Amino acid sequence: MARYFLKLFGRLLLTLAVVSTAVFFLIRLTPGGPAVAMLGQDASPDAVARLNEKLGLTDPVFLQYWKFLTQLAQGNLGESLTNGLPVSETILSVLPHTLELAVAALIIGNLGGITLGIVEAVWKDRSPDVVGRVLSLIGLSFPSFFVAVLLVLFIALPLGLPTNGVAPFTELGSNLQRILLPALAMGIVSTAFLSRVTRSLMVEVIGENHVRTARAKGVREGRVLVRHVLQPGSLPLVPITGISFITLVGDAVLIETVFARPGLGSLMVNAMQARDYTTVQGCIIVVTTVIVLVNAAVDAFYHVLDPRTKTA
Amino acid sequence: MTTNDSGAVVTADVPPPGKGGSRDASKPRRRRLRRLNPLLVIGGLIIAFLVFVALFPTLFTSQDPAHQDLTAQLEPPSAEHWLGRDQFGRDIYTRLIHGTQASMIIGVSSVLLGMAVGVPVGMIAGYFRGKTERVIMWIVDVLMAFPGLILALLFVALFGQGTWNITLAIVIGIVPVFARLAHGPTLAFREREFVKSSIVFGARAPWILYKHIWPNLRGEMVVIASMTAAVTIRIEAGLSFLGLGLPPPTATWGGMLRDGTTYLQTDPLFSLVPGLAIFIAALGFNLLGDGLRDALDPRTANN
Repeated sequence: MARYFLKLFGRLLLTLAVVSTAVFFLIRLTPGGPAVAMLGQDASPDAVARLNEKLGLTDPVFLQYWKFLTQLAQGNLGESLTNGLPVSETILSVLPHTLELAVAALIIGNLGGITLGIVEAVWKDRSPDVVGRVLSLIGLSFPSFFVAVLLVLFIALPLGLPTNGVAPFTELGSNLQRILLPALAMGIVSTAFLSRVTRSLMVEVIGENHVRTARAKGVREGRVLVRHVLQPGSLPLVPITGISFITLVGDAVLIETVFARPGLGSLMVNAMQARDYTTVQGCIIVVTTVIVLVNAAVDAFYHVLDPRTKTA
Repeated sequence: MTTNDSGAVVTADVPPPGKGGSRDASKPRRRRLRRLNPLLVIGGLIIAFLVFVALFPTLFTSQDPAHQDLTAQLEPPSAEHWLGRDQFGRDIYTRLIHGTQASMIIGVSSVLLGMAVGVPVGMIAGYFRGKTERVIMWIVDVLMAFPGLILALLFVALFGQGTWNITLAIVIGIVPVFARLAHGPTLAFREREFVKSSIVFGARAPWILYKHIWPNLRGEMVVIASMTAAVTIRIEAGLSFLGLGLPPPTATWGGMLRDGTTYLQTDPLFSLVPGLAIFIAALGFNLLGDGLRDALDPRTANN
């Protein structure tokens, strides 16, 4: 167990090192800079140079890199180049909102998608299946931000629901009210994706010999479904849930824009446009960490469910 | 009626016994479209129509998509301006027609490019194994761990918003998908007799990959490509929606939707129309992909 966590930690460090180094250098290679972004295209070269010096951007790039690494080792992501606030504080203040949104959408997507997929597989080629498949193809074609716009137009505006902002976690009612539509917008697309995956997994398992044997032995249909189809068939859903969570974190960027929710997405987009190097680096490092940890959790959960993979 | 099909596929993979062998045994048989299904036809028609619109926008509208008329801002639909005008008094219908170009060009070319890079990379990893495989698949895993949209966003924000940059930005997220999908089957095919015997006959790796392994992947890859085009179109629209697509005044569906959301309450048509356009384009590619899968692989057709 200790070795497992050591290996996991090593992988996290390696990935973080590669990703943060790549971002650090790529972002500095690009045209424009925070000074130009702040002062405008027509700023005098003199003013730009002075601001760059103040921001520490005239130091040799390897010195900057060394400073970045030593700070990072202490868990310090540096200060924002635009407002001087510690990047980690800014990120921690918005990250819970993004994660909350992604988790809420994941729950909607998994509940809806897996139920729909099972129904389709059980009633294969009959009307629930045909209708479900057409619906999932349609759902899969909707960009989540357009779903969000539709929800605002046809649900939030007529019913007078709030369409922007977030509420603190302490005000549960208001918080849930504000997360419902954004989560639904992302969840509908996720439902479509997961129902297709679940359907094909279940259809495959239903066709296997052990299911036929169980039926031949006279096992009741309900028990066949739960014990012989769902249990083995749902195993691959674990890694797929991990994948869909990652997609949802990406989708959150768009949805946060529609609902004017503060979050990692809007923070990152604004920081990129302002060439706020430290904030962009910080966001990418945090996103990478979240992704690596989610993947590790998915891995661990998979091992628990399927002992056959333990040796691998 | 398809119970024998897995058997037929196996015989089709037997190495060529020489020219003029029986039809079933001569090289990996190109799977024909076994039947035209409604999904395939509808999807194909939608895509054909959109390609036509993208190629010849002036056949559908004679107006200038960038022409502003600040005296007629947000004008409701009329006989002259079927879908009304936007916040600069530009004709929404004309911009919708011209916006087809950005979506189709960027969406389709990023899929083709992603496939052209990803499939060979995945096949190389699967065929050579060893260190090559480990390095390639590690990079693929790292890239796949990131949401495609965030990769694209980062790239565009850093390198700028030209057609080429946006396409590349999307390609970065698409390459690993194709590499991963080509890798698995290649692993399996390299152990098959028809590949082994080809090696014995002195064939070199590029020949084997191109002549023996690629034909076996082709059908699946075409299906995936079509489904992926639905994804890339949505990523392009997402970038434009965030203001990171083709810069104004170029008409893009995502950009129009972004503009429209400001006037959602007073002028819903403004955002509904471009949103529906993105949806229809993505639906077309999804239907086409699903239909092709059924048509190419009769085993799933009856599923």
